[in-house]
Amino acid sequence: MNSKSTTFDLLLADTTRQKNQSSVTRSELLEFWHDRFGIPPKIFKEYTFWEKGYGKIWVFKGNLSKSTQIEALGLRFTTTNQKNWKPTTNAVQKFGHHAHKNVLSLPLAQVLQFVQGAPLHMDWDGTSGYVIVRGNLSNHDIQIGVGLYSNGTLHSQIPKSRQLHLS
Amino acid sequence: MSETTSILSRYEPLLEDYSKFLDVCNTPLPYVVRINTIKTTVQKSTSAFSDLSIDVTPCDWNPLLFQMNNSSPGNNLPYLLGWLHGQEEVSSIPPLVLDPLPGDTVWDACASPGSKTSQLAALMDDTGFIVANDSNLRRMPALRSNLERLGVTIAAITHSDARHFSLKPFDFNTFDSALVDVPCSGEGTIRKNPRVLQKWSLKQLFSLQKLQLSILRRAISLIKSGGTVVYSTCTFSPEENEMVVDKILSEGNCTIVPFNLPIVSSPGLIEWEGIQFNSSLNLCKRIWPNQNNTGGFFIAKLEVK
Repeated sequence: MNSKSTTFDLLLADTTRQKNQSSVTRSELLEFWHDRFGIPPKIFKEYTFWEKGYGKIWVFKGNLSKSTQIEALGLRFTTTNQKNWKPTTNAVQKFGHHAHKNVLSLPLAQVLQFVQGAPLHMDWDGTSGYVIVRGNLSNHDIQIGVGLYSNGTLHSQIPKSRQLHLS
Repeated sequence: MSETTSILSRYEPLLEDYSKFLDVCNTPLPYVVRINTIKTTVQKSTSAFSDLSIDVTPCDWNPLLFQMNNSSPGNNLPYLLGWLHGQEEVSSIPPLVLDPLPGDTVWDACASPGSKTSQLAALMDDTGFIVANDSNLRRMPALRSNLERLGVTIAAITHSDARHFSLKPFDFNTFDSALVDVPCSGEGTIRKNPRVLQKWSLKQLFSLQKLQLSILRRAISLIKSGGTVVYSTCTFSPEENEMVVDKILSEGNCTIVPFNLPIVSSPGLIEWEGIQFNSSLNLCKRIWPNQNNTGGFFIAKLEVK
């Protein structure tokens, strides 16, 4: 990985990592989204992935021919600097509709609790870890964000700055 | 006469109904949201408004804009989902005038907080490339978070002085078009910020004019021949509007292009306080707050030679 955390480095396609390249490969990243959420890699055909700072992966529609020092490129996609890789709220809202694994669908009343940051106690037969939280609004599926399901509780991962304050 | 009224009185000769203009300037602006078509549709959003009891009134000239009657624009589920963005009606006009196509490469010279950038991305179906620049580091987080929340994946954000903007981080030499929505004295935002004129001075207007002209000049140098530059401000002062465009025209690298607006506007001035401008300045548009019950705006559409 490039030592400069201000630089966006392209995630290369395969596992032949070289010095000064990203800490994960494009293949590893897409494998994670496929294995965990069932989103096929072809969904991301038009996108490139970039690392800015260790394990902070961004998604950008298009390509640049070189690493570059800028403030942002597309949107933050996945954090890979921890044992369990974590999708971002914005990535789930953008791509979550393609998911069919580890998706937890909530009724609207629970969605409105989840977006306020409240933990929800529930039985669910999926595996523990990060899940895509989906709801339904006006007969349309909506992708809300990321939850952490553990021991019968769904913990909202909606960033505090995004949480709603509903009366 | 209040200090604000005294400053605004310089525009009395330009207005048919000056007292109505003053009345409207003293009335708070309604909250308006734009539907973000990158993430949703008008139909989905209107159903959501209804099912969540969010009281809105559609704006008659733009099907994507809705006035929020009670709720705060940022504290509801559609906002969290990135379906909505709080954006004043007139602020949505410059991107419509620029009218970028999917696949275009666009420079947004002074982008934060990203309302117009995200609107450009929506007009481009989130396809192409936008370089969203801003010189103010403190305004970067808002720009970044808005573009991410609204699902924009085609934007690169740069932090640089637009007057000296460099294409070095990228691998191309020209943009197809640019939006130059410059820092200004903000007279047209008085309904949102009644204190905006507290630091007003002619000296400030001319200092801003210098900055605006430099940014516009840089934009014109970065755009391909035949490409479009839209110059806009949220102020009434001719010093920051027609005078800037008149000076850039005199440098000979661009021409003014006519355009139509879906709301009431007035033509640009061709004379101000005894100074004559290029006659084509009447192709620019001024939007006064009393014409459509909005903020004030100035827009010029330029074609690069």
